[in-house]
Amino acid sequence: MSRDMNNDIKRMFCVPAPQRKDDFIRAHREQFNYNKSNTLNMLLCQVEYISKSVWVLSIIVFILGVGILDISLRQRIEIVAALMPFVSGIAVYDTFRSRRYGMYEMEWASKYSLRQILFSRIIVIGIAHIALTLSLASFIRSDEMGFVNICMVITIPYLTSSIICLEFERTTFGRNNPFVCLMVSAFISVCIKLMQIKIQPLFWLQNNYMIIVLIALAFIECYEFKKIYHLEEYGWN
Amino acid sequence: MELKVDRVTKQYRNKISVDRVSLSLGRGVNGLLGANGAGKTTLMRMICGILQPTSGDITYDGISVSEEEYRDVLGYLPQDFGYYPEFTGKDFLMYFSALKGLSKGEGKVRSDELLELVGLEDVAKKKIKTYSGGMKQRLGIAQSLINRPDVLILDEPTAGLDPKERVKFRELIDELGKKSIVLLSTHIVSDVESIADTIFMMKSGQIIWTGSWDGYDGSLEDFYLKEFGEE
Repeated sequence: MSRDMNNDIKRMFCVPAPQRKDDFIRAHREQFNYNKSNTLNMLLCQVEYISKSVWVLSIIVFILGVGILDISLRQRIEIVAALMPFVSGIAVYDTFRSRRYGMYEMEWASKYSLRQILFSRIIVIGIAHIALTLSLASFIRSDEMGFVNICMVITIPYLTSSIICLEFERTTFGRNNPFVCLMVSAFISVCIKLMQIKIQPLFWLQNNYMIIVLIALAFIECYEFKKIYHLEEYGWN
Repeated sequence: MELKVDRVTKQYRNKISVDRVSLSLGRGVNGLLGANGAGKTTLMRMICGILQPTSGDITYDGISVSEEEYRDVLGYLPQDFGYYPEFTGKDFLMYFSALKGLSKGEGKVRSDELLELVGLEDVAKKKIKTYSGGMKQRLGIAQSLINRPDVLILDEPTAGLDPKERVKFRELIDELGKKSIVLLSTHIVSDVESIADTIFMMKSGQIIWTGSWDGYDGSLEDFYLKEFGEE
């Protein structure tokens, strides 16, 4: 049968609806053992539903960081450090949007529960932002400032903003005010800028001090994640 | 196929929302009737595993409702629900297909089937924010059916539907009740009078009446109003 004839027949005669498809699938489902979800599927499922704003801002920061503007190395690092609170603020905002948009009950009752969904989003965005930080540090590093030092300078504002935004997101005030994360990010960003102008540029701080601050922030961030992990148990109760 | 609610209580500080409720639900349509604030939504949230009971157990064929295996066969339509602003009707169903473990191909086929079932195939690619209240409700109903649930929990599903849509919805639920456990909460008696195999009446967190209305004379509505002292 020629392809044209095949297409003509398809066009002229509608395919009949499958009879008892629902019964067949239900019966088929009962015959097999239950397939438990795997982590990779959960991550992949969430990747395409993360807002474009999260990726766009990360790309902007990367472009500014690698040197599209004709500015000194110090200015470039200062710009990146001042923008990192926004990168984390938008990421936190996006991670917690289920409750804001009234989707959490339906997500909670899905095969992949709300806890799994939240952690999938956190892991996907987290991996992307770690890659962003490492690639920025690789591009920017110079004799004046090393790889580790740049990582610390851009990670400290990121973690500070992330921790405060996470705290706010768990409060009713935070959930009802969509601009809280933006305000927190702006506040941290201004503080970083003021610190650089008035007190001391962040990257002039001794590495020892910075590493202590960074470790402390990393611990607090982990504690925040622990609280999120128990979210389902506390939710509604 | 049995959903068992065993002496379940939910207490919030000094208020008892659900008070030692025990139910056993089998295949068929089960109507949960009660005035606003009777505890219907709290009970349904506990049955869906969203809310932890203060005491008591809820199991489906011996599986706890907190297990992923139970959620895999669960369909739930909450009383109030929202959507992400960028979603179209099709995106909404595709998103929940992914969350319910369907592959992209399966999700696409199932979403199309359901959009046709609820009469939204023409507006599938339009943003949900352009939908009317009834259309959003129909989309929510479609969402609850994505995984062909064995346990279907519907909290006030007819809210926002016009009379014609209500009739169509009742026919759909009647059909689903032949394959699954359907628990449908409402304060509109006519929604369950003709289709529910078993009716549970809830007042102040307790089940005050259980049974099938078939064997009784008179209107369920009159009985309901009498029981709730609204006559």
